Amino acid sequence: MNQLSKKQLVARLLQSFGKKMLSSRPVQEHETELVIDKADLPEVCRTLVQEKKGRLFTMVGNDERELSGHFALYYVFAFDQLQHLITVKTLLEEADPVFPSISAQIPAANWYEREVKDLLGLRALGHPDRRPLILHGDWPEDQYPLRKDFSAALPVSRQPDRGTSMQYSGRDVTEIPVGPIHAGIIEPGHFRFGAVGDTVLHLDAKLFYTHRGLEKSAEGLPLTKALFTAERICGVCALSHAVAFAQAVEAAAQLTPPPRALYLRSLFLELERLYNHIGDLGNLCAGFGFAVGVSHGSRLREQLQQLNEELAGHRYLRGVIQLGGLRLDVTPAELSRLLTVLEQVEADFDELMDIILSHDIALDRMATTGVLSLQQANDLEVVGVAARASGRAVDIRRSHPYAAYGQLDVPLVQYTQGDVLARFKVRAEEVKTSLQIIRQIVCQIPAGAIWAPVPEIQPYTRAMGWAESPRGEVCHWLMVGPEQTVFRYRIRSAAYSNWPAVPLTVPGNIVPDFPLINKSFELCYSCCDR
Amino acid sequence: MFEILRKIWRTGTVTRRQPLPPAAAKYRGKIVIDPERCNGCLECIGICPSGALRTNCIQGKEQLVISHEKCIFCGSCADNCAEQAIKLTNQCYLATRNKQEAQER
Ligand code: SF4
Ligand code: SF4
Repeated sequence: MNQLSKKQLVARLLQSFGKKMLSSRPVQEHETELVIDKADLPEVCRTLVQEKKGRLFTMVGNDERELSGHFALYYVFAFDQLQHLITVKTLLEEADPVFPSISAQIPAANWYEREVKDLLGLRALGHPDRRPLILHGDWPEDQYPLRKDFSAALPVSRQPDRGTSMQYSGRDVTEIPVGPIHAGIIEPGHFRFGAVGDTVLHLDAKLFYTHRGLEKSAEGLPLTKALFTAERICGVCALSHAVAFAQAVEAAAQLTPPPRALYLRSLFLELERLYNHIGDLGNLCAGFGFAVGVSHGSRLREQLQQLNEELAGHRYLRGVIQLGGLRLDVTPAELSRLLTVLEQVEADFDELMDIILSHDIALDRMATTGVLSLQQANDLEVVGVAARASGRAVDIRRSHPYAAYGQLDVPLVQYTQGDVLARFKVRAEEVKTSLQIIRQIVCQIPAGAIWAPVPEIQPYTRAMGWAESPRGEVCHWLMVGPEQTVFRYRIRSAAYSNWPAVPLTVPGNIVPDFPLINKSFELCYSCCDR
Repeated sequence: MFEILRKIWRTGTVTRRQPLPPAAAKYRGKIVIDPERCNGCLECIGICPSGALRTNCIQGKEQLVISHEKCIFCGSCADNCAEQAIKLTNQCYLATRNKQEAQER
């Protein structure tokens, strides 16, 4: 598609809005922003999603009172065919911080709208679920942490809990509360099952116990230091978050890092996917008590993490990324060592997959368990492995290429059953495609610099960065403040998109299958909670 | 079943006994400051993202000290020190029974 025709296509996309558009402007190369009146939000968003087939990429509330006297909402829609993003912006008066909800028509907006209520006090009128999401029931209702006049340093007095969990009633319905503290080393989340006998009728998941206020604490930090915050959003997708943040800064500065840096980023991103996917496949076996799978999975993962340590100096690939490129290079000797280790791991991995996928009990437990239908996946804008296992073809490496993915062949792995087994198989095949991609990178990697200085960024420039983490796409929305600091930083991780889908897949399954279903999504709590 | 046993047998034991071999050469471990080289420009304190570096008066002399508890081993200080007074080593065994020892050295 050449540049001109893309422009025309975008123009055609926006044609139907005619008078509703107060203004429109290109933001970055891949993004158009339109400003509309808040009353037109439902209509415009619905048209973009249901008629124009965009998908809700992220939604951001921003306190811009010191800039324009208003709060602002940004709804970002991704158009994968066009490789384009369309941002719908609307301004809300300080005196009347309400806007019409779109959640009833676009269910994926549910969490975003509840989040801006909790953190910024912007209320979505007509939202079907008025429970708080992030700050739970003991946080005072008139304290909004992301408003600029809220100081993170002051203590907030808690109030009696308003009780925001689902209550189950009725004869024969047993309520089974689980968590937030769990047996085993997993993060905190409160799950409440309404069950009849062994069969789950309904599941309510309450998360955000690990809300650390990272977005607030990043505000005012110099961009170079905020990178370290980005790296610590998630323990196991550290690199994807760092890359997404660096890309947001580079987009704001209109800088393209040198080609070698882009290739190396892709290389490390695939190494991150590899150790995660292989470890997750092993861990999934714990869901049906198959210890051999768990042990071999963690053994292979350990091998890969030691490889990470050799190449990057860190088992979880932290400290690799720098704004404008990379902090460290790899030598040809290291690359050939990489290929040797990967060859061993691959042979070992193939054997392990043969063992698991020919084990009757494993197949029996995984097949038809925890089905996520394509309709559900589309409605909730599910991403990553879970989406691709339900026949939803989203992979941001292909649709909006970043790093060196534009020059690499990235095959799409897709299944349609949407059950635990499909998610298992998507991961297993993605391990193979990651290995392929790494081999391509090693063949094609150009020589040259690995870093370019980041030019000064105009205050209040905004930009986005994204990456396909092992759990799905992450999207970082950044507005740069004065003197190269962070003004507003919104992190939308893959877990944030996928968590709302998990409770939908559990009803109809037996209670002991929940751990298995949960493991098959393998979602992170802390990057969702931030 | 036979395949499973064969795999277990072929793999053998993979856990290892301590002491383990040193970490990889590139590993970013314990930070070591060379007070002889340091000229006291304090550039590194401003750069450190975790506030691990500060100055302290040791034997009547202002000296740069590091808290190994706070350090996140990013290496920014070492990269930016013009005097190369800070070095990253690959020492990864930093557990100690003496808290003071972890804080300032
Ligand atoms: S940057 Fe180097 S010379 Fe300056 S205070 Fe730090 S260690 Fe000393
Ligand atoms: S390595 Fe990083 S965290 Fe540690 S002292 Fe140096 S700059 Fe600070």
